[in-house]
Amino acid sequence: MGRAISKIKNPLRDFNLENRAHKLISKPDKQAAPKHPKDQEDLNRIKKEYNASFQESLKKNETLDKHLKDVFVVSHDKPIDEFMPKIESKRPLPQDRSQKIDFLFGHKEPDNIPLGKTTLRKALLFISKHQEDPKNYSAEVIAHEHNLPLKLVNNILEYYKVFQVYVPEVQSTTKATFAGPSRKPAFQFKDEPKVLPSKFKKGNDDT
Amino acid sequence: MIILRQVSFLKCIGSVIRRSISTNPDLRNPRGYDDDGKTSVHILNKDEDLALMIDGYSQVGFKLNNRVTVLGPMVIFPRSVLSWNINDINDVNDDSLSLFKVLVPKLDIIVLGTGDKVTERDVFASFRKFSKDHKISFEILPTETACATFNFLNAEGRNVVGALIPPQTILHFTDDDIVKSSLRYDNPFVRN
Repeated sequence: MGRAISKIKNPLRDFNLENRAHKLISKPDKQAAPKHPKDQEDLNRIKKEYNASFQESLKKNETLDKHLKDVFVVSHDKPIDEFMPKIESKRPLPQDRSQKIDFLFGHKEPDNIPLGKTTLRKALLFISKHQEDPKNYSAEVIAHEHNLPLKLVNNILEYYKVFQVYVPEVQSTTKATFAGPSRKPAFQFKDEPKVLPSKFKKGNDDT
Repeated sequence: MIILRQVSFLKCIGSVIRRSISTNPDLRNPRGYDDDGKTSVHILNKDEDLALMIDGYSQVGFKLNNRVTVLGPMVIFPRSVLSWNINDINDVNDDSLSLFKVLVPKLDIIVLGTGDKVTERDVFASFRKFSKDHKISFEILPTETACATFNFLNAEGRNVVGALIPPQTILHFTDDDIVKSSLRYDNPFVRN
């Protein structure tokens, strides 16, 4: 309601308001706003009664100005980690509150591996090592190194293979990658038919 | 007879009126989705931080969400993949499952994709013994459904392993799949 009345009272108050404001601000010599009559009266009285002090207050005081320039603030705060008291609880509560990154294989690997068992990381490692160098890194070596039964290692090495990755030669237009089982690839020889040889099938334990 | 009818009719009207002036808000507003109509879809396979997942399958292999096409049967772990040197579901036995029984931490579940749907139950008899001996549960499905099951279990962060054999016959496909496949065979290295 008040807004409506003020619109009626001074209808041109907001006319071209922004331009007028900018014009006023950009003036080089700005006039101070007029003082309240009571304040003006006070000021006049001070001027009359303490004229010397008033005149001095208008001048620049060199010593005080120098003191102000000499002020320099230095902080001696300790880092917040040292400052905060460490929480020491005897109860088995979680103490570490930092964010954990994901595990490489999607799960936490155990610290102690039971006898006759292995982790995925170790299994992948020995499978790929065996494929690179089957003579030196044979099933016997793996069985001895990882405390696994020889028959089991033979089975794992027979049935699980690490992929050989084929990246297309023309890189600029492609984003695809191919991964094929890295058994001896029959399809690399052009005269041979494109079928998997039967010796790689099940039941051939002495590979 | 007529009076009886009238009475029942009046009763009926009464119940209609009572129902329509009920103060229970559940009766007035039908339950269900009552949001502003904006919904969002989150595709699990496109979130590469989540885990390794299967984008597609064919008679020769699988397409994974890290832009790798895998040929032949595979054993897929949450973040790693191995080739599985077997021919078909008849080769799956204690020996060819040997890796799963030595792994620590113990696997939660093995999703076994049998390739085509297997109707003979005798094939699975040996898995029951394996599952009981090593306390690992099995989910035996045709590969077409096993892929999606593996993806979901993997997204949930379970210690799942997918042992998948490519299917020989593909039952569920769309026209879009056919077009995309033919495009891919024209230029096999371009990702569609």
